[in-house]
Amino acid sequence: MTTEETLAEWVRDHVAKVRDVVRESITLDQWFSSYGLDSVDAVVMAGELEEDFGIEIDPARFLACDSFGQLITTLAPDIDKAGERRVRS
Amino acid sequence: MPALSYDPLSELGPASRGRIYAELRERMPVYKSSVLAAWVLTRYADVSTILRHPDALAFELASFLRALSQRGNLDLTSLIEFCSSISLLTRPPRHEPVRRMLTQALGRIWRMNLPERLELHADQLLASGERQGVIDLAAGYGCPLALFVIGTFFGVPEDDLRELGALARDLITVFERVVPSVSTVIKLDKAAAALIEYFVRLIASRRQNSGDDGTSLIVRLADEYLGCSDQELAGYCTFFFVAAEETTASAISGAALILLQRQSLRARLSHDPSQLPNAVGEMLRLLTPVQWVARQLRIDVSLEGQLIRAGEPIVLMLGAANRDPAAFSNPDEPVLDRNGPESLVFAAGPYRCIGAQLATFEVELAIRKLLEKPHIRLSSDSPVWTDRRNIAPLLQLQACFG
Repeated sequence: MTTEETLAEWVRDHVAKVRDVVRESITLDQWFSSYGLDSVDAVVMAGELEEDFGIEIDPARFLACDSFGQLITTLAPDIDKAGERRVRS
Repeated sequence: MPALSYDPLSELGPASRGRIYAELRERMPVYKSSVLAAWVLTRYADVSTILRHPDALAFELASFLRALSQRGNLDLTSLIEFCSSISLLTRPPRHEPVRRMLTQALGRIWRMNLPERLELHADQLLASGERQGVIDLAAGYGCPLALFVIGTFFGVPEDDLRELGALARDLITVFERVVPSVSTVIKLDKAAAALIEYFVRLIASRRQNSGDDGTSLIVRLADEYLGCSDQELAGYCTFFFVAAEETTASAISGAALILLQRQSLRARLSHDPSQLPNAVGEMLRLLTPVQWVARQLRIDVSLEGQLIRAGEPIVLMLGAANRDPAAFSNPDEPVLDRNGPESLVFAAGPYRCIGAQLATFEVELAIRKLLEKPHIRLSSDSPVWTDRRNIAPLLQLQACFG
């Protein structure tokens, strides 16, 4: 599974859990506001992503996106780099 | 009109700030930033209007943090307490009595021989630098002078000042973002906890043994005006300490940089020291130690053709407003005989900085003492800035003598 696919699964799981909906209903061309989520939810999600993937995320990068798909494309390279750093060390 | 793609706050370094502000003032003076989750205002007239608007309130970060704490299952008790103090301080009904109390308490500092003591401290710092041939005008002059003043006011023992200063520098980053990250707020919560706890202890000790320092007076005035708990009072003291220390340190070292970069200004002030107050006013305008403040409105307001809805966060770019050519001719240079509008260095309106007079006095004294050292000049590696964007003091300003 590629990093982008892994992230897509993570995002679906997270939004489904927070909104208490089935994960299959989460589409990646949507964004927080489509699911009734706000900037607080974005910061919480960024914090959980930091923890699970070992990267640092400025919430501003989140808020600059307009879809989950764009967010995934933005974050995937950082996660790959963090993974390479861990392997090297 | 194409949207601006950059994040104005992350890219607002000292080198790029002027260009970005000019672009925003020109192209998008009232700009809704998705990155900031806030409106961004850059023109003097608009910023001034909102600062003085009767329905403007200071932006309340505490409610955001409460929601973040609840939904993210985070313990942010101390940070929320700190931000709640700011909210109480800047909103009715507490605003008026707390402001009156702090202003009255601050008046005490002029009866503590402050000018003489601060001058002596500045002399000592400069003499020490002179002996070594070098001085860091940021960490070794601006910071210690600002810390000395606020420490003297509160009656904080000198041994505690360094640690309190470091905590204050951590905590002030709360003003860097309208939407901070989880890792940031966890770090800030620790700094807030340590500072509030310190002031709770200091207040308790002044209740036991009242003295003639600002803390003792605050305790007495709070009992008279507010009748609040010592915990709430400690929150106000923490905010006052944090706000006073880093902004003034930034103002002193920044003013020193402007002075030492401009030989003609230095020569003019050495020749005619009566121009110093005007010069410091202009230095502060150019620096604007607090680059932006955040507000919310109680009502919808239309500005530059944009509708700002009640409750939406508004970032007021004081730094951009203070260099707006529509308000200040030749805005990037200190003009000693300027007849422009009042600069927004200390904001304006009901939440104008309580410590404006004291901070201006500190900068004037620090610059006057520097003028007495005609051989001091900037080292080639100066200046070094912090990576912060709002209250972003110089990290280092090395200068040498001779």
